[in-house]
Amino acid sequence: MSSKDIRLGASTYSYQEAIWRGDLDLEGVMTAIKGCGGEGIEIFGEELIPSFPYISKEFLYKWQYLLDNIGIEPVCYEHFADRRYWKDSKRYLTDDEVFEVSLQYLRSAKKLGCPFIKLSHDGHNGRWIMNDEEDHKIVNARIFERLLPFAEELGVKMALEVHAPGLLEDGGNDDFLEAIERTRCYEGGGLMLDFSGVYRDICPQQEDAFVKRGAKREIIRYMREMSRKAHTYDGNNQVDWDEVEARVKEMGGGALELAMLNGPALGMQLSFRNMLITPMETVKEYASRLVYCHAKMHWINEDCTSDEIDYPRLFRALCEGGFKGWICTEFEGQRLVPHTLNEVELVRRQHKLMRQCLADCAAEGL
Amino acid sequence: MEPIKLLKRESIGMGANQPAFDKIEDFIGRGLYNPLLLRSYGRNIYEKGKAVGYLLEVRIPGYRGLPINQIQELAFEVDGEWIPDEWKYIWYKDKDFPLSQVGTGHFDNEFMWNYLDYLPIFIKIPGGIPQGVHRVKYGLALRDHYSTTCYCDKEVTIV
Repeated sequence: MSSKDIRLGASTYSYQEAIWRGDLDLEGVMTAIKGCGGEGIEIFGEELIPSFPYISKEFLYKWQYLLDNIGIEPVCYEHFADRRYWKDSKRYLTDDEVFEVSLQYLRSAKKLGCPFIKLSHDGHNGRWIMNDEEDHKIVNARIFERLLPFAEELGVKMALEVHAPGLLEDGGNDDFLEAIERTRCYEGGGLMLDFSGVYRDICPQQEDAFVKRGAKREIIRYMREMSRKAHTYDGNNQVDWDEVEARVKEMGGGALELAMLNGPALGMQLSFRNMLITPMETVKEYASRLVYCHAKMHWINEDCTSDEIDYPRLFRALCEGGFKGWICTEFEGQRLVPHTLNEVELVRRQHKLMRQCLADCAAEGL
Repeated sequence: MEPIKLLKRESIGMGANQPAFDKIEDFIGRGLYNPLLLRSYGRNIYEKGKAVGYLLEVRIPGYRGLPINQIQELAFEVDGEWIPDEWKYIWYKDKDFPLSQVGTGHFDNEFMWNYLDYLPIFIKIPGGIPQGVHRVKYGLALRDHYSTTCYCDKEVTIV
């Protein structure tokens, strides 16, 4: 395993606003991915396939022509498993129906040539779940177990994405991993890292939003700096959060700044003091078992560096740990400030950064 | 073999304790505001020379289209007046049906509101609405995994 075994692509999710506005069509998105150096595409059927849930022959011909002509590969077909189609909250899709719907996604992925679906599953947020009402749940481990042999036969792997606040190591996917062991369908599915699990900082748009709510910018920047220091793993990362709290109070921090520091104002990241983050050593430990990665991203600086993730150490952990496969960008910062960010430019910056990290790993013989 | 024991996971509570969405205020501040969700022009609809109502066209937010049946509430307030559900009809993909039928089993769950499409909503009111600029507020709540809501408030020119 080495840095050469890692390939970069992007999800069409990253360009959702440009697509929504009509600025980019499927060809435009593929061109954008190719132009930033990407080699693969993850596609949302509900976003870009007019005949969804079916893959029409017309679409398939266009898809295959564009992939071939532009020169990128199909990587992943995004899966959803919403159950709530009726006003009556007691009526929702049964497990059997979710199984059937999911099987259709697997077959569609096969048609599109995608080796993965990102499965919408109940372990997505690890030991948390968005909503534990039965009608809000998606694919559970029992449905997953039934899908595994079909996935394996079709040659489409179900990627079990672990997304913040879930962490790879929190045990929140143990029932799904048990399903793989029970069926021995090891080619049917596996864990997937979403980079939200290694965020060490908030993004400038979140900072602006907190300032709008009344927080002092200089205090936020101080806490951000401390959070980056605490999660940089450069041997000088000890942060005394009690000292930070005292300093925040000295600087005039009030209830909002303290909620950012101590929680839970940062949402899925909880707080600066108790930020949920998978240590790089743990990423390394899991790397060889990961089947796919989403390079979740809210912001990349103009100089193609990142505050939110320690990319150089993350890529070193993935390379050292033996990750082999696709990392696809999932840019999400646009959702914080609708129709103001340039999605193409931000994906380009991230790809430049990720390629540099891979080159650095290669130079170190990884 | 015994069924797998499913893990008990801690609920984040997304989509819990939602309001009734029976007034436009219920949509404000819950989802992202985006003026592009509503087309800037609407039109009166005529039948044999008489206006029988008017048409507003709206977009779905987020990053994917959804089956029509996942519309939980689709609301308008026009010039300060709440538009009752029984006045609203969906005119989409050669179908014409009351909004009140959505989510009642009248539709195939594969009847999609495509991501790139405006959904035309006919508001049936004899005489239509006077031509000119009207203040329109649009709110949408969806029965998707994230219980998405969105809101838009803008001036719409009705011709």
